[in-house]
Amino acid sequence: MSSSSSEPDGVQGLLGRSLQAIRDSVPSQYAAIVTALQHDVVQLQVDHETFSIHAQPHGLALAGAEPSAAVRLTTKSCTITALIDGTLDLIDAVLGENIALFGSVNDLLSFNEALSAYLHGAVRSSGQEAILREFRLLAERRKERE
Amino acid sequence: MSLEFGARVDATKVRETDYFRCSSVAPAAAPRTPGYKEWHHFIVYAPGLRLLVNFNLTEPRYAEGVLPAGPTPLTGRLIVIAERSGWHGDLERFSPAEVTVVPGGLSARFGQNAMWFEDGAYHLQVQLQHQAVSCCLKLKPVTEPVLSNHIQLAPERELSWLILPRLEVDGRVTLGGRDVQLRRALGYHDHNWGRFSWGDDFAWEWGSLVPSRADSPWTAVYVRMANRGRSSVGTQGLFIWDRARHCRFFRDRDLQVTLEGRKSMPVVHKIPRLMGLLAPGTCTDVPQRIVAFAQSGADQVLMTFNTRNVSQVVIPNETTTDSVTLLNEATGSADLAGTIGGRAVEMEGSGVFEFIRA
Repeated sequence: MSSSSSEPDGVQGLLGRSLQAIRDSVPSQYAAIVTALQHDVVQLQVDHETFSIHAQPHGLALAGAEPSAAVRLTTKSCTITALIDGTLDLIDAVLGENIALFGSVNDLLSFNEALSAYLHGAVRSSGQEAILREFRLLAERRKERE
Repeated sequence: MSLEFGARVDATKVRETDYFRCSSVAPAAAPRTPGYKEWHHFIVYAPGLRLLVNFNLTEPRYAEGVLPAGPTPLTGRLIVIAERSGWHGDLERFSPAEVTVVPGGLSARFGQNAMWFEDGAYHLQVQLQHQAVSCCLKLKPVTEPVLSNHIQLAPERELSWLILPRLEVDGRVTLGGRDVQLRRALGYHDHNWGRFSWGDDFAWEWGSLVPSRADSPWTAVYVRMANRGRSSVGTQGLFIWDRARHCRFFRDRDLQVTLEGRKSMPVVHKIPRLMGLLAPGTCTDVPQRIVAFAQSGADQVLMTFNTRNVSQVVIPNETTTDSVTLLNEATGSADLAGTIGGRAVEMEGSGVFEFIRA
């Protein structure tokens, strides 16, 4: 997996480390993410940080904004922590417009498969707790700045 | 729910049967094979409160296809679930360095949390890191333990089980900054150890039944082991205690079990909270009611459990990397009616049942 993040401590950098941990510990789930995203580019906007995920022959690559991505997701880091803490569920987050999702039905289904594979890999791989702690600190810092 | 039970149990007998079969500090003395698990489970029944505390040891997960060359230290999981005007609790993980277990002893420390046996009673000292949930409890056994060894879960997968179905509980539980003082409340304890993986071909149901009347001598435990699809039951039983004494065990063909309806819940509390993303929704596959009719010789007992509420512990399967096992923890009312040895059995009370669905 490669990354062109200019902010290694941002969401892009943390996601890159998280994906690498899955690749190292649970390669089958990493492969499942790559397979689910093989036809799509996903653009993620978390707070004011925008980046994209590409499936490539050697794995996943994180890069800069890709406005023409097949799937575009916009949310806030505090929404992600609410999902992790179980105070908000995914359906309510989407219906409540805490998460904005754009894409065709097929592309969104593929993205959902990739998300599920990512979560199954994350809960089984080592090092994720430290990454999650860093993410929480990042979310707090960004909330204070708002 | 205080008791005038009057029964006392020889603490030596408890101590001789209930001890850690494995340890994270002496691997040479307690060799392990992959899939080893061991846990101490406690339930507290008090008016308006149900509390579950579980000190759980498990082998760490490993990268796919890479098994440890030798014995490895165990990690700890502390599970706390409290039902009182809603659900509280969480699952917290502890690295091997944070876990201390005395081999052959009956004490454990997970971080700042501890359980130990002293002066004829279990003691629990628990404080969750990320929630205002804590307890300081003393649980004194008032029934004899029963040991059930080598229960087969699936081929080459087995579990041993020590049951102490009734204890008197004193102490304090704090939920969200509010204290609940307990004096001679009721408790349940069991201790399990064995080798299996979450996701193996099994599903178990068990339940603890305690009376609400202070002078009732009856206590019971129900268990049923089946394959994952629950199309085949391997073993089932209903254990009954009369005061301190284990007086009757109905097993296998003695029991006819009926699961009625499906409990519908508007919200299901899930722990660890993060795992709700992998098991969303409110589907629990928990029956509205269990009825077990036990008969052997002239003895017969009808057991009923009505589900009131359900929470779920969500565990990543170890047999695959893309599925989970759900441990449904159900609270509700429970009763027994029948005859044992010519004596009438009548008990109205409460139960906590667990339904594993993989």
